[in-house]
Amino acid sequence: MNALEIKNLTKSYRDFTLDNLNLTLPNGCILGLIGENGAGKSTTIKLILDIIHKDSGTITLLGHDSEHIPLQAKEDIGVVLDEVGFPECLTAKQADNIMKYTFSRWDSAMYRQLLVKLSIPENKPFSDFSRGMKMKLGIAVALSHHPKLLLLDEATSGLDPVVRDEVVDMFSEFTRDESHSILISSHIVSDLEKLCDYIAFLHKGKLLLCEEKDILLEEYCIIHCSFEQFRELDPAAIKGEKRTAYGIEVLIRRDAVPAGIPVSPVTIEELFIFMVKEVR
Amino acid sequence: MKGLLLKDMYMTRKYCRSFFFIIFIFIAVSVFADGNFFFTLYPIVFASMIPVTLLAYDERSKWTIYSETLPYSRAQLVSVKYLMALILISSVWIFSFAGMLLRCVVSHSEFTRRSFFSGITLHSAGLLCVSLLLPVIFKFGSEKGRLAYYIIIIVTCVVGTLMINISEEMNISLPNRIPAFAIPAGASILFVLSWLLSIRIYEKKEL
Repeated sequence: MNALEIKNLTKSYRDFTLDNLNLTLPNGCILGLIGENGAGKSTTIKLILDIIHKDSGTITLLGHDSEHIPLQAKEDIGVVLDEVGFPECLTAKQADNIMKYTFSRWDSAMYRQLLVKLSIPENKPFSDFSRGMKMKLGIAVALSHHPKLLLLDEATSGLDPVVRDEVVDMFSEFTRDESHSILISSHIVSDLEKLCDYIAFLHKGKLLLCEEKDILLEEYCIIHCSFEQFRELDPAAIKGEKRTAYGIEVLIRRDAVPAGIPVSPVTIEELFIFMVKEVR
Repeated sequence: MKGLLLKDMYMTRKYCRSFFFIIFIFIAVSVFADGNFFFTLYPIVFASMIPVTLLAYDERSKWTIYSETLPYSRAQLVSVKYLMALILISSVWIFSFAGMLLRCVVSHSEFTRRSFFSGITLHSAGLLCVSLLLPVIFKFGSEKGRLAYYIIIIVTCVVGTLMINISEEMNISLPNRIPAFAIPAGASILFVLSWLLSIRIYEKKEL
């Protein structure tokens, strides 16, 4: 079963359209949604959660239509949004009390452990928290009701590199259970490269690709070639190019590289930047 | 819905301390304000503003969006504000009513049927205020609904006070013309209709 299935999802605003999006997140996997600011990542997550209403298409979340998801099923979804959303006057301790009455599987002991692990003060009001601290509290809450699916919108932004690494490890640990899945959006590609099984590129509301990360890394490479060599390449195999005074850097399908040209492995970040520039 | 109620209680305790201070001052003044109904009415109207204030804080902190991800229906998210309104108005009303009784003691006057009628009307005025305010705020948000918010508060205070004062000046005994239960019953019906309307508005809203 898939944790999330999005088919032909469209949402139009006056100046932006999320256009015919198709995504699938299998159980036990982590799907990273990569895109620049304004690419449509948050819009996608809000549509999944039915915070905003879609124009067309279908979203199936843990086997339920997202527009009619039972409250019981919502207990299986942990969410961290771009702006975490706790009232400024609340403390982490008060959040514990509130969530105790909100989630039937709320685990206070786990929550308190996470507060300690992530160095979140229990009695400090949320208004005194830094952005990173707010994110950490959001993550602690999202994990403490034993969800099956985590929806994370820019959940690692604002965290310092050490904590980010720790949080990424926590997410990896979460998906050790095969019934657990994560959809995470970010523009910090390095985090997603470390974490994800599947990668989706979103650019100006359009899906550029959605593929298994390892396949992407195996399938594509970067070559440095002269203008003459470039002209001999199969245009269909080229995903992007960067011209310099000394030649051309080309993102290309590995199987289309002519013999004799040295290849360099591509990172997800390079792949994304090349593809976005190509579209522009 | 207990979690939502607890969250609003925490917020009320933190953000609305000054509200309670003002309410206390007005009730205290009403004990000694000879025949001026404004000081008795205002605390109730003020209490009915608290759920609106809570909604404004919810919007500012993006709780309105986050709460959508929690296992609550939109009807529950709306209902908690109406429940808070009922709790706050009723609590303040008990004190206001006690203030009215105390005024009778202080001024050595009798607690008449009219006084009782005024006391009941107080609670209804609070319900009326919330019933008019909340659907507007749920529809337009606290920022856009601000103008309607002030208009409703001022109109409720002015009209309520004028009605009582004019009826007294013209020696028209409203309580004798209207059955005692009519106003609270009307206000309660309006409150329930407003509640249902707000749920309908909020269920269709894009956050």
